[in-house]
Amino acid sequence: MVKNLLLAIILSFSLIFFTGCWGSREPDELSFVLSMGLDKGREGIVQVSFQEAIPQDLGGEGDGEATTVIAIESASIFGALQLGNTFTTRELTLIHNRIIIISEELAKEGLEKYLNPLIRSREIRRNTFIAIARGSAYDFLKNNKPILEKYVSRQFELILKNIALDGFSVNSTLSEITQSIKSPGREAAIAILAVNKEEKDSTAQEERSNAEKALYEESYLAGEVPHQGGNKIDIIGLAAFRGDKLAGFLNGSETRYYHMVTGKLNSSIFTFADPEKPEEYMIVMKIKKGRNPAIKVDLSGEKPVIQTDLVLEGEIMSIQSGVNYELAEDAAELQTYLEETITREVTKVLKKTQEELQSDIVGFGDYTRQYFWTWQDWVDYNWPEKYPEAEIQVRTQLAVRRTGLMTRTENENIPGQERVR
Amino acid sequence: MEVVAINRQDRILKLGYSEAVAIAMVYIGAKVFLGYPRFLVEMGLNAAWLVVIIGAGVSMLFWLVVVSLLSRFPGKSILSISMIVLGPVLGLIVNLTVLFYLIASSSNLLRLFSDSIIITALPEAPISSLVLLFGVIMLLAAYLGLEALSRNAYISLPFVTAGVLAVLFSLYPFWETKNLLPLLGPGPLDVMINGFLNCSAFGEVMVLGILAPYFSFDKKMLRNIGIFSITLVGFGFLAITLVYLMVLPVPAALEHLAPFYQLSRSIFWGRYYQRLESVFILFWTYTAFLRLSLGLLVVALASKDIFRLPYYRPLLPALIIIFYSLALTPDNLVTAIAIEKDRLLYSWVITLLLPAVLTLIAVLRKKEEKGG
Repeated sequence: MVKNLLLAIILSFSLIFFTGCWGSREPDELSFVLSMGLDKGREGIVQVSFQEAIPQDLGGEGDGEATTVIAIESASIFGALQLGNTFTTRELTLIHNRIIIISEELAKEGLEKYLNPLIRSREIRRNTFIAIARGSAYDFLKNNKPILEKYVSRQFELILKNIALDGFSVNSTLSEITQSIKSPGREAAIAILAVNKEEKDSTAQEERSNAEKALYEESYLAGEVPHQGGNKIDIIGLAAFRGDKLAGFLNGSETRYYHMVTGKLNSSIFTFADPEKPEEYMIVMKIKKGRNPAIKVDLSGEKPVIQTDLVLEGEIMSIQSGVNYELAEDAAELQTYLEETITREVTKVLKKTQEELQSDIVGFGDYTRQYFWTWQDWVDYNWPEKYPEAEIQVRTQLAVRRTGLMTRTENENIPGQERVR
Repeated sequence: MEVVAINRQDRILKLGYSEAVAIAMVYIGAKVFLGYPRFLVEMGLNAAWLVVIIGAGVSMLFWLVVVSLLSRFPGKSILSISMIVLGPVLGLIVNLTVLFYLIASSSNLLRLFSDSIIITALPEAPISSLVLLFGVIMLLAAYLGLEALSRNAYISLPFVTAGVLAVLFSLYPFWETKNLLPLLGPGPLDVMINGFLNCSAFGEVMVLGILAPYFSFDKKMLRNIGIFSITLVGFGFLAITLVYLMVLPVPAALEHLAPFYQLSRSIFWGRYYQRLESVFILFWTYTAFLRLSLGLLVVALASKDIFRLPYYRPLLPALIIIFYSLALTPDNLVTAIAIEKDRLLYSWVITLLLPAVLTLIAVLRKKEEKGG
């Protein structure tokens, strides 16, 4: 009894002494970095920008800025973090950092030396988003003023998730990117973002026919999206890498076709020229993945043959011409037309990754693993060199499943169009 | 549970088969929370899972041989049998080698678990404080005895298993089966050789041979318990290795210090349920406490056996000081990892080959004891 009492007293007292540890840090002594930017500094130096959360008043909703951006030049990311503590009252911490933005200039020189320390760090999580800034990462952080969200961490979580589902960009995380850079079977694809230029350079779009304007209505890179009002930033398109170096970009439209092949396109709205009157009318379709794409890479011939079978489903959202594509023969005609168009555009994007970018961002190389017994044989096959020469075959199967809330369009004024009763 | 030996200090009960399985599983399996999955990938690249299967199979064969030896000497531990078969001098030398191995391996695990906690949860804590913390609990648990520890292992095992499965299945969205190809990783010969060497990872099943006098069941049951424990832990290793390779494939899989922790850090159940590794740290820290306490207790019981002492408890303070000193001997974590790597490659010589040689000598010299 006395023993137990003594034990209880010792344990109770121990509560007083075991309330913390060497590593304890009080939240009100920390400054939480929500996003980080990396730019090229002077020779051998990197400029690291930190977007810190500004603590709000006890009342809750403050009227002032929610974040502030500081930029520090240092030899390393963690050196910059430490230097930041020389003029910030609270200790900077990366435990809530949600995105790391790397400038295009640094990305061209190679990412690996910046990513390796991040993977090693306890504070940075593997699901931290990585994005490439067209222009300066610091400028992006300064100009990014989320309107609907108070903090940029939540803003990026929502926007990158939604954009990836729509297919306009990629949900690129630190984990995926480092794995792609190190893997012999795939290359990295990273989201791109930029401050919106506001000066519209629409020459390229104006030179297109109406049919092409419809088809390429989303063919913008970040910074070029023609919008007014709202946050002055764009996140659209992707950066393709060869090894750890930036090889080039895919615009928003190309990125959506790319996602059809990766199987990550959830559902997205596509505009096509009307097959019967391409210069006058458009058809708007919501297209989503029917099944995961079937990809086969055949290595038996002289050149690798990549066969991609896409299975998609569509829902008609708009038929401006009033032609009843919902019905029998016209439906078949529309379906064939859409399948051909998608096949052509997907092939074009894959050709671009082969010829211009020379970067297997889809990861076809991973499908060649099955042809080899050992890891070394597979590495020796040297897929990155073979990929640009591979023959690409794309087949698309699109089923128009739904027609919105209309089953047909009643319009007697359309010449040549028989009224269906 | 049948009482077989009662004295004032060392009240030891005969353990049932569930407790025996729990002891073997914790003793063999705890290393999976350290760098063991990475070590498997180093040996078999993306065929690391084959290395697990081969290692488990080989260790089972060795275990059958060892059980045949134990059957010849009912009620005797493998250390006592060694003295009988090899004679008092050679037997003592062999037993001291085994004892040194048991002390060195558990001490190094003490260092590795302490360092893992520093890396994952308490980055500013000095290593000595964590070794001390583990040491105090090891001392307390070993003092409470085999019964308390084995029951504790038995009760906690379902929770630890549930925790491991929760991590593995939470990562289902990231599973990529293509990462398991090419099928033979570094090549068939390397897979076979490394698979054989990997029987060391299961060699700790030998702890059942050391604890044999404390079990209430016969040798046939002991054989089944060994096979059952190796199979269950083997499945655990296999599942963790497969998920590790599918989620964090080669070559990235070769880099991670604590693969299971890295897997738990990758869990993302949505914006509101992330950073779940802090929950899972509790599971593997608890397993570490159990494994290290068992390590100390097994060393104490083995010492008692070898030196024919009446009690083991008075040895505990001296042993924990040896553990503490040895744990802090490696200069740094990398050295401790290198020691563990050597142990995982070559410890089969002590844990599996040595008993097999003993069996051979026993058969040749026709050494046998009837009854029990």
